[in-house]
Amino acid sequence: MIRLLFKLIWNQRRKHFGIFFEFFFSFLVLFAVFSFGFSYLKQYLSPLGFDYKDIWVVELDWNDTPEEEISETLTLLKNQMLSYGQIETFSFSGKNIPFSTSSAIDEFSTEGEQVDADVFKVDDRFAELFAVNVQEGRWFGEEDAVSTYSPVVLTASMAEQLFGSTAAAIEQQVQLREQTLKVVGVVDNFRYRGEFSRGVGGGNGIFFRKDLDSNPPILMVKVDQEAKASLEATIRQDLRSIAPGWVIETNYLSDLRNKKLRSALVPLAIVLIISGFLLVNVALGLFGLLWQSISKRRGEIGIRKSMGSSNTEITIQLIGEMLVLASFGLIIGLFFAIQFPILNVFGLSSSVYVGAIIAAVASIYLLVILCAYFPSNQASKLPIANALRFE
Amino acid sequence: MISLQNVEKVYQTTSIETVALDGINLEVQQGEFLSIMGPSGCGKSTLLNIMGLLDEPSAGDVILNGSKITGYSNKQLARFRNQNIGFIFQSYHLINDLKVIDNVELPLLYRNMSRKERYDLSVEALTKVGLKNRIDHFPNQLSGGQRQRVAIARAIVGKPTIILADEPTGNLDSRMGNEIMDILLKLNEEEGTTIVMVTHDESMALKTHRLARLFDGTWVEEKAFQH
Ligand SMILES: Nc1ncnc2c1ncn2[C@@H]1O[C@H](COP(=O)(O)OP(=O)(O)O)[C@@H](O)[C@H]1O
Ligand SMILES: [Mg+2]
Repeated sequence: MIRLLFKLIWNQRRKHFGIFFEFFFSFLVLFAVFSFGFSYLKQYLSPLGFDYKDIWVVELDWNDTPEEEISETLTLLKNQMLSYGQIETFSFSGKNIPFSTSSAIDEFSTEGEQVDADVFKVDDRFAELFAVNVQEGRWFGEEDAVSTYSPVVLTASMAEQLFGSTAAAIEQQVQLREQTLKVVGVVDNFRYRGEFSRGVGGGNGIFFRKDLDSNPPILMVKVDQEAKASLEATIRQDLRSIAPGWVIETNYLSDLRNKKLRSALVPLAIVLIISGFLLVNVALGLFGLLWQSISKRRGEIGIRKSMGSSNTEITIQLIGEMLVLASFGLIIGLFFAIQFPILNVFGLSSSVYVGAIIAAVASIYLLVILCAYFPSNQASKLPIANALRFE
Repeated sequence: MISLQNVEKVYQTTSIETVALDGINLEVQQGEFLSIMGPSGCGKSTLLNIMGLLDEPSAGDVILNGSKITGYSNKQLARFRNQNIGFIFQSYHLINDLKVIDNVELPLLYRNMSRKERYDLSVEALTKVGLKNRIDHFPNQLSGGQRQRVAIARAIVGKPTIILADEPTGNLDSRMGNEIMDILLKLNEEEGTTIVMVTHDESMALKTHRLARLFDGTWVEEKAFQH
């Protein structure tokens, strides 16, 4: 039965070329849509590398405070923060905190490698505040105050790209132009841009232990849930009295995250609409084509039925034929699709492409069964005497 | 073998109602070769289609090989056709995209049979119609007479007890027509296959056992011949 199916299709190859091409094209469209969708999903589902909950963000702007006062005021602020019993921890950092729109990117190199990375200026409490996971080595501490080279912590992605593995990076040197840096630790990729971004070079980031008086910093406070409201009011008040001329803006990190997600929503929605439109087009295209091709075969269906084929057998045969045709189109399509993971096009991981291939193949088969069933079933029910008139 | 009792067939179209068969009774004995004649549009094809379970009567009963065919599901009808009836049509009705051998195998596909068995039976049937050397041709590479012989091979490959032929020589010249007729006569004589044939050719009808004439959906004359 299957053998005959192939024979029939092979003998009709010219007639089937259009269908065959439609399958090929549909597959490529689906493959593109699924690749895109899966990479987004994977992005969204993979860990951020930090914990953003219950963090209160205080943006400081020292306006035109005289320079000699800034450092002094910052020290006062820090001491004030240390005096609160109810906060879990706090940290001063550069502007590019998680979910912010700021970024600082620079180029770093070793003997043989060179990469771009996000630069974070942070203090010793930063890792604790964000529950950053240290994979190798350690986070910054007091001992770094006296080191010869500037100590840095790399993200896993950056360590792997520069040194081949996270473990190999420890105690190694990295160059930032003339400046030599020493790696003291490696942490999980820190995706501060949020769920929909992988970050520079697939997650390259480098942390500097910095005094924060060069640029207005951001103070982040992890607050105890219970004491939240009253504590925040107290802190705000104390900050105003310590630094009366400074502009202070406060936010919750989770609100910043929501804002970021919302801004990603519009392009995502547009892409989803386009994808949906493509999918509907593919489905309609296949449906029309299958309908046409099946209705052209009424004569043959009449002959088969007069020879003893039942309606069900006719339906199965027609669907089977379309599945075989689809497979031909898919084989060619697969040949193209396979190149994407092999050549590592667009830098997406192979698992995304392989998943997209599987999903596209499955959807094509599903579409074929759905789109072929209705016309096949209709055609199989045509009275034989009528069907034979079409011969 | 074949028994029709008060068979009526009315075609209902939007504007008009055509009575194609009007109370037809018919008995065909096993091993009989019956020919049916009548002017165009008198209901011959309709009658043959009903006999062959390709169409349902509007009223009346069809009894084939002792079974009353009423209320059969499409699957049961398909099986019955497949096991018992072979069809030959005026315009051959071969599948042009299949080779001769595959066309002939067609009825066997719906039986439980190995590929080898199907092939052997098909070659045997093609040998009977003298086309053994054409098995790998496509229908459009054959003459009309050869195509009709392929159709006969396809009709007999499953060894049915009944063959229904609707103007099998209608598209052929007299020489090719005679060849086809000879094959049918031989089939009837040697294998005892019951044959009902619609024809426009009186000389063909004279070679059969009995001739029945149809006019406007009713019988008008019946003659038996002694050979
Ligand atoms: N499917 C159909 N729908 C409507 N009328 C039909 C159909 N098939 C046949 N008829 C009509 O029934 C009558 C008998 O047709 P048919 O059996 O084909 O005649 P014959 O084979 O004797 O030429 C004709 O008048 C024909 O037009
Ligand atoms: Mg006719």
